Amino acid sequence: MATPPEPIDFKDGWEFLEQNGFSPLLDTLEEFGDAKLTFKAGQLVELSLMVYRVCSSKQSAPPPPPQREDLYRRVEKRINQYLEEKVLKAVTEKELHGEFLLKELVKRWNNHCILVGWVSNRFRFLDLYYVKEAVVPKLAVMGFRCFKETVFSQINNDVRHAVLQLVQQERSGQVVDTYLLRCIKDIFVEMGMNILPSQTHESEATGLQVYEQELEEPFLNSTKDFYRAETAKWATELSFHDFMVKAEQSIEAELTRTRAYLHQKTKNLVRKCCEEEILKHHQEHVLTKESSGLVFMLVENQKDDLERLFRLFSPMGEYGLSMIAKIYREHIEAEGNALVEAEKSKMEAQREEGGKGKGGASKPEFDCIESLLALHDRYLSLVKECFAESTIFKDATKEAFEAFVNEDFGPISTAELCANYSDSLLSQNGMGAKMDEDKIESLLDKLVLLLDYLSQKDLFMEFAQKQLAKRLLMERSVSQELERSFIQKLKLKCGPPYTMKLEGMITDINISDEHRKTFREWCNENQDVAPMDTGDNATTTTNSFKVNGIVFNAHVLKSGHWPHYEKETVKLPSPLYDCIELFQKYYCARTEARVLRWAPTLGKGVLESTAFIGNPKIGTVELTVNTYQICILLMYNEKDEIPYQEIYDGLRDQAAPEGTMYLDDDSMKQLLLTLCTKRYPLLTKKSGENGDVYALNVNWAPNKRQKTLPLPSAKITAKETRGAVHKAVEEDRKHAIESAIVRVMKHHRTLSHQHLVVEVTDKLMQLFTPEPRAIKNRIEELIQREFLRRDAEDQSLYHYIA
Amino acid sequence: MDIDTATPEKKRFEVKKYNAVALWAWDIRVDNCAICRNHIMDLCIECQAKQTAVVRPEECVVAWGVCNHAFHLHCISKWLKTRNACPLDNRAWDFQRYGR
Repeated sequence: MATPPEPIDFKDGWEFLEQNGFSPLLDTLEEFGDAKLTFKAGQLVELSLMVYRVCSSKQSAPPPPPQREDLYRRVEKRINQYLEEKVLKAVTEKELHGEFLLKELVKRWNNHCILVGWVSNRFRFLDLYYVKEAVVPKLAVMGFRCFKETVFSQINNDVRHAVLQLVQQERSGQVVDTYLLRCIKDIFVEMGMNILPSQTHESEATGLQVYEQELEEPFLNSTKDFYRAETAKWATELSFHDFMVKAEQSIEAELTRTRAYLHQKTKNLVRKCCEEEILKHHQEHVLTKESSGLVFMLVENQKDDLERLFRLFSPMGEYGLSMIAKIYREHIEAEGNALVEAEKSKMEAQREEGGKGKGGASKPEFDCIESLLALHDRYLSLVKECFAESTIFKDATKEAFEAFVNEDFGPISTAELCANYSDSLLSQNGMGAKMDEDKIESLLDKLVLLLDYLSQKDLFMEFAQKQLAKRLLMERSVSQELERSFIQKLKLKCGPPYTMKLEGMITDINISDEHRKTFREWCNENQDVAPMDTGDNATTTTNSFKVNGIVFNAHVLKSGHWPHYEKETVKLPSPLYDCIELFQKYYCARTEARVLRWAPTLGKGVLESTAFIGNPKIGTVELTVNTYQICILLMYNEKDEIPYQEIYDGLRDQAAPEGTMYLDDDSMKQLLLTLCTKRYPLLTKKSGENGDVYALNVNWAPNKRQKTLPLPSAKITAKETRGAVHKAVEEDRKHAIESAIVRVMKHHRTLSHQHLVVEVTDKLMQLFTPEPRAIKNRIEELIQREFLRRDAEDQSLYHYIA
Repeated sequence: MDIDTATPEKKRFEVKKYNAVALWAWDIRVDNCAICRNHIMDLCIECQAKQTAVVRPEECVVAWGVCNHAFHLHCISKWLKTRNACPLDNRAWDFQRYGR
């Protein structure tokens, strides 16, 4: 076994290390920039052994021999000496500039790394046995620190200057050595990393502080300055399109640069810096450029540019987009207002002409809805295609549309127009008759989206309800499937309570169909109460069930679901009376606690007549008429001429209980008018001293066998009806506000006026926007009716009275 | 179609077909249910609040007590769980009839 190496005198030992170690190493490094070939394996072992010998002492007990510290210091001194004599000289004294300086630095740094690596390996003994005890940096750290203090701190300003200069060159289009720059970046990073690993302050946790202070920050500053100057030119000289192209290219270029030779953490800062300088700084100016700004793009529908705009500004978040959204919103609003104005004057012109334009298809009020739909369509697809369906633009679209959709078109509100439009789509007499169902569906879809912007959804519902009632009762619906699907769409947008009545109406119609069948069965089972020509009924189908020779059918509607029909009744002539009596018996047998109120305006039938002999080709005509018209015409079975008063009295039941309502004078005359029109002159009016007399016009020459007479109640758009609708809506709103107040108060028990108003408004928003004053009035009303009471001390506080 | 009726002479106007329309309501004076304050012809407040399934109208009916007061069946049933008396006159409650 070999004896352990003898300790050696420090001076001799160092002499050996210098002669056989540092000296040849540094020489080769100077010459070749590499040290692999300097030593043979044996020499390296010898060197390590020498270190061991210098460091060991004769007595093995602590304290550690002082020569270890001497050796550590000596190594440090040697490294510094080398750095000062050779390296610093090389990088400073040759008056190197720019790229050359950087190249020299990188070379010297690489050499230094080799040196430090070599020292760490050869003097590992110190790292293992001395560093911990003496609490000094490891050799590697000490080596790097020497570099930082002796070289880096002397030249870092020059280096940084050179780097920024190269960056500038690259920005101006020259090709630069990006690898070199990346190496420089690494040096800056390294200078922070390994300097003082034991002292980890918070700010130094990343070890990047040197890089951040010495390179990153100056870089960002120079970037800022560069683009500030650059974009000032762009903003004035370029069109918005070109500006954005430039901006996009620049940001992309800066990011590529960051990836190429800066630390990855700098990327976000660079992006932010660019956004600040290029986009934010000039945002307002370029967006509002008159001949190329955002409005121009919207008008010209330049989707590519709008997409680019979003791409550029959206990374800046809410802040970047809010100004764009504002301009976007104002633009739609302006466009929408202009559209509304244009359509309004078109409609006015139409009204002044007075012509009703029976064309039907090209009604200006439908044009107006269609242009609104088209406008909405356009911006929806824009938001989808260019703005990634981002919420801020969706909201802006909504806000803009809400602003002008709620403008009234002259005397007609948008709610009414929308209702009329949907009616036309769904009616066999309207546009719907000529479209296939898919087309109708898609138009209804679009309409529902528009409806969502209406602040008076209840008004729309009031019209829609009336119109659906008419379609269902007159059997004019294009299809029940479409009706259901429209209701479903409304329900999805506005919630189930909104469409409850419409759904109820559809249900009623279907229940009525069931009644048709069960009524017939009931009649067959109850022959004693149901006098009828049985012989006929045995052969007829369910669709033509006869009572006393009349094909009879009844709809029973739940009041509440259906619009408010007039309460007027009429004295029915016996054939009709019998039918209804029979049905009433049937109905009461099947239900309990219900009362039926017959609506003569809604009932209609077919009269067969041989009275008119004006056209020899046609012997018998079939007239489709309503209940009142039947009643009047049947009177002419007995007489040829009847005075007005007699007709008037004939429709009234003298024995009826007090308070029964009948048609008033005006409506009666209106009704008679429908029988005296030019097209259908069934009666002729003769004015005499004792009032008007109506005579049967037997000379009328009908040109067809089947005729449908006009109905006086057909006009839903008439002014009176519109007024009535608004009044009904007004009433409904009172109810809605009251019930909302009661519900809120029931929940909270005690609430301040302000909170109550807020909550009530919130609850009702889906239907309409209640005015605070209206809510206040309702509250007063409820206090009077003792649902609520004011607090004895605080007048603005309400209590719910259970 | 032209099967004449037995009457000896044909009248000038004869009814061939008649479609009548009637509106039904509960046989009741008040407009609103005193418990939920909804219109008595509408659904009760609970049914109205059911946001999901369509409530078949025949499920939400009206009920009368012997005192002749009427409420939504759902409303009065809930009320009776706590007190077996009419909410309006405080007399002992007994069902008289149900709407159907």
